Order: sequence, then structure tokens, then C-alpha cells
Amino acid sequence: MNLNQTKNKMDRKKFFLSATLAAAGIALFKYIPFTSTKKKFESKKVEVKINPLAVSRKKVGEKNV
Amino acid sequence: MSDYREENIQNNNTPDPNYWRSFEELYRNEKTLEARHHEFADGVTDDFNPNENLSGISRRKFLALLGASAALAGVACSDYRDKGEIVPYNVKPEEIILGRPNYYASTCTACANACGILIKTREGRPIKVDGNPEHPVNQGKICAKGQANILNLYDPERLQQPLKKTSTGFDTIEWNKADKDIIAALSMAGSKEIAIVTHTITSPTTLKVLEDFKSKFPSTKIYSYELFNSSNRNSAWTKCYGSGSFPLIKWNEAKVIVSLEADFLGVEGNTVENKRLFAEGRDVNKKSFSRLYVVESSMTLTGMNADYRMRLKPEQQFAFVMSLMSELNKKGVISTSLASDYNLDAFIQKLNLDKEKVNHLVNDLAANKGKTILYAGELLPENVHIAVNILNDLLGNKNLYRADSAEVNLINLVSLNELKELTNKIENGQVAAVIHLDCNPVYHFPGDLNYKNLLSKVPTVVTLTERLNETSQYSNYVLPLNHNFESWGDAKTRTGLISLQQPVIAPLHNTRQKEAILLTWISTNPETYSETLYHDYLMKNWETNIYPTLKSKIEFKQLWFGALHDGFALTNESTPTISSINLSALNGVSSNSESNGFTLVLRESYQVGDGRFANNGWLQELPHPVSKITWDNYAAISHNTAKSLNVENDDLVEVSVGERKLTLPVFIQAGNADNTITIELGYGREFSGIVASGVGFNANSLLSAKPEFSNWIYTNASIKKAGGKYSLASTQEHRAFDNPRTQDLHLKRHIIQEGTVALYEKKPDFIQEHRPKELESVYTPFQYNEMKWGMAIDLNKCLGCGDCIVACNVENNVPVVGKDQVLKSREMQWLRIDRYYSGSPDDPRVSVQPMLCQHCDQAPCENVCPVVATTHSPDGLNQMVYNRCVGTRYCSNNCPYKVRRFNFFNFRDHFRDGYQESSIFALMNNPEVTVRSRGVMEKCTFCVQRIEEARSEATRKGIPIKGTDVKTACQEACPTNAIHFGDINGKDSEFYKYRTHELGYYVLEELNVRPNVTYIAKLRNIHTEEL
Repeated sequence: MNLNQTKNKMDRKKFFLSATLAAAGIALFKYIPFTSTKKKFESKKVEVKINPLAVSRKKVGEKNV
Repeated sequence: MSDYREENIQNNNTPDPNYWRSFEELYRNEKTLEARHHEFADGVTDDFNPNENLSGISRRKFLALLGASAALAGVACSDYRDKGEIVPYNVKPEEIILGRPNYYASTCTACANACGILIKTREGRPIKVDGNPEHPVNQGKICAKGQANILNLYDPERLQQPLKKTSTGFDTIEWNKADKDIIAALSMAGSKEIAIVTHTITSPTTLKVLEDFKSKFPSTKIYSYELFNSSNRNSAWTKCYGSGSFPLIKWNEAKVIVSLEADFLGVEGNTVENKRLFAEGRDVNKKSFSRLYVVESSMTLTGMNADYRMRLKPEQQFAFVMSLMSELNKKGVISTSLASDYNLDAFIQKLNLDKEKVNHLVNDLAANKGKTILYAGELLPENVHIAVNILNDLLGNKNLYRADSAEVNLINLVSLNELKELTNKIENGQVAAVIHLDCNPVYHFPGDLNYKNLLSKVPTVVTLTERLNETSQYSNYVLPLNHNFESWGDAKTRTGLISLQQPVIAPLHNTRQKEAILLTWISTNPETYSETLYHDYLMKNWETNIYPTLKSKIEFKQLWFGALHDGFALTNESTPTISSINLSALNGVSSNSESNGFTLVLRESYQVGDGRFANNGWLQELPHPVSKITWDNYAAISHNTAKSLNVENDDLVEVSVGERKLTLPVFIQAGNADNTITIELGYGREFSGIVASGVGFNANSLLSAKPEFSNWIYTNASIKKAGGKYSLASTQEHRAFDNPRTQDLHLKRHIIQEGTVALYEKKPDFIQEHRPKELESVYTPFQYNEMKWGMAIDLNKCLGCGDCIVACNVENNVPVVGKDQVLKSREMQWLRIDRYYSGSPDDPRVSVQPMLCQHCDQAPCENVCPVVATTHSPDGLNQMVYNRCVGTRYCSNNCPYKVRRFNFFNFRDHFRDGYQESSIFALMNNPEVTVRSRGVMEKCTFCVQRIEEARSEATRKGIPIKGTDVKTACQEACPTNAIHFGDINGKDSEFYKYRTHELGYYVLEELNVRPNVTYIAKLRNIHTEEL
């Protein structure tokens, strides 16, 4: 390779700057979009409990007489 | 209709009298016909040409793009969202077996009919609702609203905390604080009125709570209302018979049914029961068929199923009934002088009615005296109901009034005058507090009552509601209510029966039951509240007031648990007897004045009722049974009226009644009476959440507190073109599978087949004449020696209501896609009801045919899948393997029935900002059915999860699985039992009779794909052999 033909080559400084910016960009992309565009309907966790006084169709338990 | 009609005339094309689905098709609109050649609507898919986009790309650029893609993919995929851990129960509830469903009997509160329901739960989560099979009224069936009600339970927009109004909006408030404030306000009311506004009360125990409330706060007055009600029918009954309310009808025993502007199969009365009884009267196996005449102004579900249908404006109905009375008197069938001023011939001539049809009607009424029933719609004024009661009585039709059961009204509905009195009192400062008990009067009350603005004059306005609505915006306190499935209750809507409602899940949010809230206020101590407060009250009321009347031989606790298990208790009440008629009720009643202009008919929505279900995406997306429009209401007008107004579908029009105006789109409805505008209410909601708000148009603004004709019909309306367009999302032209070059579907394509009762009696196998000969196969067909699943749909019983669609949605986790996607033919429902018209646009016959995956033996979709994602099971099912599917859509393209659905998006995420992605929504999913993601094809599976459940149960018992062990979701929901499912090889089953029925046919049989859904051809009970 002819060292004089370096017009398409990136110098070391520029390379590290680009790499750092890319890493920072990826890091930002990873966290910022997913937090700022959080879904409107992220509802709080709910606890599912059966009502103890209800009577099911299962033929078990003291309520099934 | 504009251009294409003109074009049609120029081309000398005449409208095709055979089957057509829309005016565009009838008049052979080129755009519509051209669209049939394409799988997707214009703009739905963009062609991707790699040469255009990637040509000339340098190596460096390519590598850079590749690197960036890899980096982005790495970042995106690293966003793993923790779904939590699955841990076993530390203490397992005795009733839960992991992986096995549990069922609870309860009562549906979606409307005032209080049907018995069976709620299926998995690990404590309600996931499906069906009718309670033992319930005497609905007998195992439930309507679309009842089915879809489960979505309301998990609606992420449900109110989760009590709210108090502040200067800037609403702030959350503790229950105790809210209770304290409200108790103080109620205690200070003194002689000023406390108005409780509520829908109709069907619960005797709720009524007792209200009575207790009145005892504690004596200035209380209860205003019970329903936007649509039978008050005209019931007041006419009282005038005719002195007491009671209109009886229940033996639809199954009637030989001739005459429905006058009534939609008893659609929205009036207990439609689940009505549909079942009506279908019982049209049984192809018993060869017994009732004859249904429908005389109406706008095409309804009942009108769609008529043997004879006539168009008549509502204001002419009274004169029509009286003219019939006169004619029957003239013929000596009845003896009366009440109708001497009327003449049927003159009436026919004046209104240009079909004389032949009217003569058939008169002759049928004469020939079947005592076995006919005339039924007037609840929208009609009292005078028509009086005339109908008298004619029924004179014809001896009282035989068809049920003596085994009657409706019970626990509380009288208030009249518009009483509501006017309430607003007057508010205006005069005589009302200290208004309590809205799970109702939405700001939306429902006529605008000229000015209720919305007057509420600011009431010191304390409390709204008890499940979610925010128009009324809550004008309230000081908004208190969140439990859902039906989180509540205790009882219901009494019939004699001889009292139903129980039990919570199958503890409240998901910080909500309370409305009765418990009132009981806390009655006690005047906020600390009184406990989760069992109303349960204890209900149980005590049953023990002290209801149990003694049951005269049961078992002790109370045993009866209580038994009734909860069953969902109801039978009582020994007798049905009120019907006294002799007071013919003088007709004295002074005159014909209604005729409209010079347009008549406006305001009807209840099939999908969202009076607006209560507007937040329910499944119901919004359910195609209208007649027009097939989703997500909107519209002004339906006749084809001639459209022509005179020079409007076409989607044009905006302004409808006015006096000073009240509304602009909305127009839809040209075949079979509507000329100069009649029909609008369904329940739309145009505001402040009601992301699903309901802004959908459709609020036609309640056209209601008046001083109606001249009836509360829902206005004879002085006008309509004019408003300019502009609005797209209505109709599924009518979606997935058309006929070839435009062969318009005559009936004879050439056999897509839908029907005949007449007379022809069937003469030649029972007439359908078989058209069947193509079975083609020889070069392959040896697979032998299904054991089980092979199949379905049969009896089109004599199928009414086209769509209840099955919602049942399928719930069972199979089918997402809501939204109007924008429906406009692109991307609705995801696995089952659709194809609706065809035949005959002229003014007087069309309607045919319906449910269309779902036909599970063809030689399925064309299977051969073209490059990744073998769709295969055939040894028991005859056409299966989808979602994990294999790469979304080529070849299968959909090759399916002649167009029943495959593609996930163009993750619709759960795509619809309304991820509304269905909310974590609470996941609780609603059926765990036995995969939730499909973007890029995957899906379709009806014949509810394979139910088949596998039955198979595993049979294996556990060590017996072979039988065809009768499985019921598909659509079959279970069908109110008329039109759908049968079972083993094609099970020759002793009921299903086998349908499979091999002489009226059975397969759609597109000539394609030799060997479908496994048999259709039983519809028979029309008309006087001729030919249609």
C-alpha cells in the first residue's frame, strides 16, 4: 500500500474520538429511549387473590355442600 | 351515488339482482372490482426492490451499515425485560390445582337482564365468561357484551383510587377522608333533597340498601333511568290490562311473528333468550318453521332474518296495525268496530306497500289465529303498543304469553318529566347532594335538561364509577367501584327465580362495591367499612327476608352455599294472571301525524349498548351485524334518500331536529325506508379513556326532554350535506373471495346456498343437485380411521349476531387492532360473518354465513408454506406452528376462504400507545393459547386447546375421547345453537346428523380442497317454492 495514498484513511485521533462518541451514543441509546418513551399503560403490579368467600364449581372444600 | 353509477348507466350495465354485499358491488364499481384482484388494499404493502435501494453501494458503506446494524441489534436485544419469577404457592388455596381451570357461577351485570354466567378462572384469574348452563333464562349462553365484560375487569384505565376535585383537576384521596367529607355533607342536607341517580335496580338487596339509605337520610329521592327502556310498552300494557308489565313471549311456539319496528333479536329485551326461542321455532330437523314478518324503517338484525320484510316509517305503524285490524274484521276473523276508520287497501296504495306481502300477512294471521304474535318495538309510542295489545287479544294470541315466568321490575323508571323536576329543584337550590350510582347521566340525559351545567349548583356531587366518564368531570368526588367479577350481589328480573352474584377475584385495585360505600355512609362512620361489609349484609338479607319465602327444607347456610354454587335459587312464586282487556284503552288514541320531512330514529348500538361498553375494544371492533362497520356510528339512510341528497358513503351530513344539530358521516343502508335517518347511540364519548374517547359521534345531543312522538323518534328532522368526508371502517368488502367475472354467486360458485321451506318439503335434497362430483385424486387420501374433527353450521339458526366472534376473541387472545388497521383490512378476528344481500336495494333479502378456517383435508395453505409452519394433524386439524412461521403470507394468499390473519404489527403494542401491553392485560390471556407476535400468521384452530384438554382428561380416565367432549368457544357462545362440533367418524352423534344432512353443503366445494365445515342451507318460509 502506498503510504501517500492516505486521503481515505482516518487518523488515530479521529478514530478514537469516533469510537468514544459511538460508545457514548450506544450507551445513551440503550437507556434514554427506553426510559423516555415508556408506555403510557405500564400499570402497577396487581396481586391476584381469589375471594375466600366465593364458592367454586369444584367439588372440594367445606363450602361445597 | 355519483360517478360509478353514471358510469354504470353509460356502460348500459344493469344492477345485478343476485347476491351482492354493498352498493359498490351492486353497481359494479370498477375500483371495488379491481381491488378484489389484490390481496391487500392499496397502500397496505410497499414493494421492496433491493436493486433500487442497494445498487451502487460501496463496500465501505455496506460494511459500515452492517456494523451499525449489528451494534444496534446488540443494544436492542440486550433490553431484556424481566417478566418476574414463577414461584409455587407456599400455601396452595384448596380450590386451585395449577394448570386446571376453576369455574364460578355468578350473575352478569352488563345490562338489566341479569343473565347467569359461569366464570372460568386460571390460578385465580378470570379468563373467560360463558352462560351458566343450568340458569333457566339464558341456559348456558351469554351475549357479546357479557363475554367482552372480562376486558373491563383488566382495563388499565379503571379508576384505582378515590378522587377529589381540586381547582386544577382531580387529586387522589383516602377512602376514609372521602367518606368523612361525604357523610358530613349528607348529614347537613336537612330538608334539601339528596338525589340518587342510578340505572335500573335488579337487585332486591341493593334496593334494601337504598331503602336503608332513605331511612337514614329521609330527604333522599331515587331517580332510576335507562336510556333505552320499555316504558311505552309497559304503560300501554297497564292501560290495556290494568296492572303488570308486558309478558314474556313464547317465540318458539308462534307460527307467525309480526315484528313492528322491533329488534327483539338484536337489542330489545333478553336477546339471548329471545334468539334461542326464536331459533327453536325454526328447526330443520323437526321440519317446523315459524314465519317472520318484519315491518320497520331501518334494517335491523331482526329484519335481516325476516321471511317477509316491508319498509315503513315509524309514524305509519299505528295506522298499519289499525288497517290490519280493519281488514281482519272485514274478513270475519275478528269482530271489532275499533278500526272502522281504517282501510288496508287505501293504506297500501297510499304508501305504495307490496300488496302481495300484506295479503300474505293478513291470510297468515287469519289462518293461524291464536298462534301468531304481533310485537311492537320499544321505540314506538304508546298508542301503537295499545293497538298491538288489542289486536293480539282479538286474535286470541294471549296463548303465546308465557305463564311460567314474567318480568319483575323492582323499581319504576323515572319519566322525562320527573327528570325535569329534578333539574328544576337543582336550579332552585333545593338539592344538597347528587349521588351518581354507577351511571352517566351527563352523557345520557337530553341536552335540553341542561343537567351538566346545573350540577355546578349542587354543593356535593359524588360519582361512583368504574372509570372516568362525562359525569365524573362534573363531580366533587369520584369513587372507584369494583367490577362485576369483584362484587357480591343478587338479581331478580323474573318470577320464580333469584340469581346470586359472587366475586371470583379480590379487588385488583383500591376499589369498593357501591352497596358497601352506601352502607358505610349509612353508618356515618368511615371505619365501619370492611371487605365483607356487603357480603354480610347480603347474606343477612337472604337469611331474614329471602330464605323464608323460598320455603326450603334445608338449613340456610346449606342453601346459601348451594345457591352460590348454582348461581341462582328457584322460588315458588306464581306468575301474575292476565285479566281481560280494556278495549276502551284505544279511545281517544289517534293516528300519529305524518312527517313532512325526515324521520330520525335513534337506536341502541349493537356493539357498545348505550355507551357503557364504549371503552371495550373487542366490542368497538365487532363488525355491526348489518352494516359491518366498526369503531363508529353514522347516519344510515336509504339508497333513494342518498340519491335525492346527492350524497354517498362517508360524506358528512348535518342532521337537525329543531335547534339541535349533529354532523356525522352517512352510510347508505339497503332496505331502509326513504326519508328516514337512523343513528345508533352510545358513541362520541368524552373524558372516557383512550379507547372510548373520540370514537364516533354523540347523537345523544339530538335527544329532547320534550319529545313529540317518542323519546327516540323525531318526525321533524332534517338533513343536509355538510361537505367533507369521514372514513367509516367497514369490513364488508374485506376478504371478498368471489371472482368479479362470475357475479352470479348462487348458481356458479355455490358460496352461499339457500332455498324455501316449500321447496324443501317437495324435494328435500334439492341442495345436492348443485354439488360437484368428487374428483379422483392421484394420491391415496389419508385415512382418518379414528377421530376427525369437523364443524357444522345451521344457517337456519344462525342470525348473524356476532356473539361467536367475541367468544373466539376472548378464548384465543385475539388482539384489538384499531380503526386505522381495520381500514387496511387488518382486523384479526378469526371468525367473520359474511353478509350478502340479494334482490333490490329497496327490498333486499339478507343472507349470512359465518366464515372461519375450514380445516380442509387438502388445504391449499399447507402446500405453499416454505417453512412447514402450517401442517395437518392426524385428527384432521389444519395447524399453525407459530414458532416456525416467518410471515411469507403465501398461505393467506392461497387460502380460498380468506380466513388467515397476519400480525402486521405487534398489535398489542401498536394499538393506542401499547394499551394492550399493560402488565395487567396479561392477566386476561388464556394461558393455553400462545400470544402471537409480529410477523406471524394465525387463524382458527378449532379451539385445539380445548381438544387437548378433553384428550388429556380422557387419557386420565383411561377412556377414548369422544366428539361430544369438546365444545369450541364459538359453539358454546352461539345463542341459537347454530354451531355443532364433533367427530366426523362418530356416527351416532348429533353432529353426524348435521354433517350428513340433506341440506348440507361445503363452500367452494368445486375447488376440491375438502373442507370440514358443513353449512346447512338456509330455508326461507315464504309462500312460493322459488326465492
